[in-house]
Amino acid sequence: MNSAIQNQVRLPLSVAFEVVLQGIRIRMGRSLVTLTGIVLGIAFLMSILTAQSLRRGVQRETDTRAELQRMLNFLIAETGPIEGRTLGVVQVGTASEVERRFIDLLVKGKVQAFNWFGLEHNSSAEDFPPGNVARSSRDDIGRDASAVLVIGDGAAPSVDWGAALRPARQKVVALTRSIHEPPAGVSGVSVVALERQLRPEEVSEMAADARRTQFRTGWIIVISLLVTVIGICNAMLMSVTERFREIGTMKCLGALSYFIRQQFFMESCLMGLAGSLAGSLLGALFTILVFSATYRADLIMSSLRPGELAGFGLLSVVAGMVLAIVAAIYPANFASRMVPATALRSNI
Amino acid sequence: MTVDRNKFEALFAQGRKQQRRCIIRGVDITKIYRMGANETHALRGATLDIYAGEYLSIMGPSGSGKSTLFNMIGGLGKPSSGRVYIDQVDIAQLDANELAWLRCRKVGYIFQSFNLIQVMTCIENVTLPMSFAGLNSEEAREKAMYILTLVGLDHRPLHKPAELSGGQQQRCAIARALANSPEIILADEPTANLDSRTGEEMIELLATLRDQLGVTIISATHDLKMLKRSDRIMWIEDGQICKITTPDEMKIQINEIR
Repeated sequence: MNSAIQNQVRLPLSVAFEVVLQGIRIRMGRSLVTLTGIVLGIAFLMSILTAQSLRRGVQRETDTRAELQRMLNFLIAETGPIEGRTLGVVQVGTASEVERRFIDLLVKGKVQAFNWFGLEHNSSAEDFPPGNVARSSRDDIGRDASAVLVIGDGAAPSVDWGAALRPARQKVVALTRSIHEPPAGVSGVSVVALERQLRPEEVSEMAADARRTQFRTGWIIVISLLVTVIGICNAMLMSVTERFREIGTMKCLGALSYFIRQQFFMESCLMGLAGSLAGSLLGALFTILVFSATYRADLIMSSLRPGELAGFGLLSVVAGMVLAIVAAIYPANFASRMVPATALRSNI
Repeated sequence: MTVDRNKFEALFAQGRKQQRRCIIRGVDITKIYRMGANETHALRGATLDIYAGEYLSIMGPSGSGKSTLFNMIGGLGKPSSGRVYIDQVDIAQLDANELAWLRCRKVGYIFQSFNLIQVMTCIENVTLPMSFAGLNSEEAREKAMYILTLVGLDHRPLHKPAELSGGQQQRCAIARALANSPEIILADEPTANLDSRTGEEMIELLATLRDQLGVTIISATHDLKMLKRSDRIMWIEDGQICKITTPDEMKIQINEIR
């Protein structure tokens, strides 16, 4: 037998992993309590993030709906009721979401026909104008029209307004954006600017409001995460004291400190992963359900952004893992520093 | 690899045939525990030699420093002053890594309250120190089964400690102590939590192991039956070793008292 003292073998992670899994399975009751703490903490975080996203979405949706109604009102104020009328549309470049929905609103408002003419718009806009509208030529824009609408992100429609408006019923040109150039040098045309310009005070007020909300939410999130960390830390400490004898025994049998530390970190990580996955799912579902019950479900569905929610979910899971690791630092070091004899003396 | 008797016994100490090899030497060991301002002198200069292959019992009233001496010579704690040599190596010179190696391979521990790991089965408890020593699980299982047969527990390897009787748990603990073929087995009151018949069986088992495998057995005990089987008995009182006797001398003393 080799009697020289050597260094103890470092064990692969899988050994600690097996011990940890077994430990969690055997101490299921306590593990579940820890897990519930993490699930609740992360569910709270996720629910706040989801609620923020939904509230913002709902706000945007409500604003858009109000804006569309206002644009329609502006148009009608100039042309009179549009039911059964014909409208000319000049599309310059790509139409925005708002413009598309405005056209939809006009279709719903029983506009009889559109004289649609597209300028410089790319192929991705082929599905637009809506299916029942035939394209017409540049000369036919104004035929029998109550108004000619300019939409799209291009600035200057190259239209000879004088010629175009000659066959029109009413000489009204409605510009959906402030960048659109109004027709020049044609007499008797009334121009309606549909886009609303925000006043500078309004803009700064909105920004300040957003900052305040951001701060308040941030504060709540920080507090809730702190509570979660302390909860996990407490549970892990309990797990350490519960295992005083076990740790001491393992050290007597030749376990190195890192092996003990590894066990507690791994346990915490596993709990963190499981807890935060469950928590973020639960938090998101719960919030969506509550919002659907409070607001109208279709409003929630149309303002739901799955990409953003998935991002928040990932953020929550990462946060949960980080919390679990941070919370395990103290208990794991506490356990690994224990002298084997001390661990054996305690009668727990 | 199949484990048979020859192979297994070959794993144990080779120095059996040597004359009176000193396996543990303690020189003037003191240990002071500090609790705030209080100082407790648990050991006040204990000097002792323990020889390979002997069966040594340590006797003493509670609070005499028995357990502390035990921890010191087992490499579980470091003395405040003095030296402990295990197999000629001063354990104060070892770092944590080497101490773990020593605890894993050189010493087997048996505890009063068994200290089996409750979440593991009997055989897993026995294979645990082997995996700490780097044995792969296949070899470890085979060796563990052999040791369990040796201690008479081969019929319930897959039971959890809670499902075993006290005697069976202590058998499992003895098997675990033997896992890495140590030269020394330290038993801290191994019979205290057992009824007298089971205790006697344990003592027989330890004595048989000593005879078969040549391991050095050091036990702290109050059990007179255990004393009878010992080669030497060390009496410790108030942190000092007051005398070392043989069982025969002790019998005379008891007769004198009565």
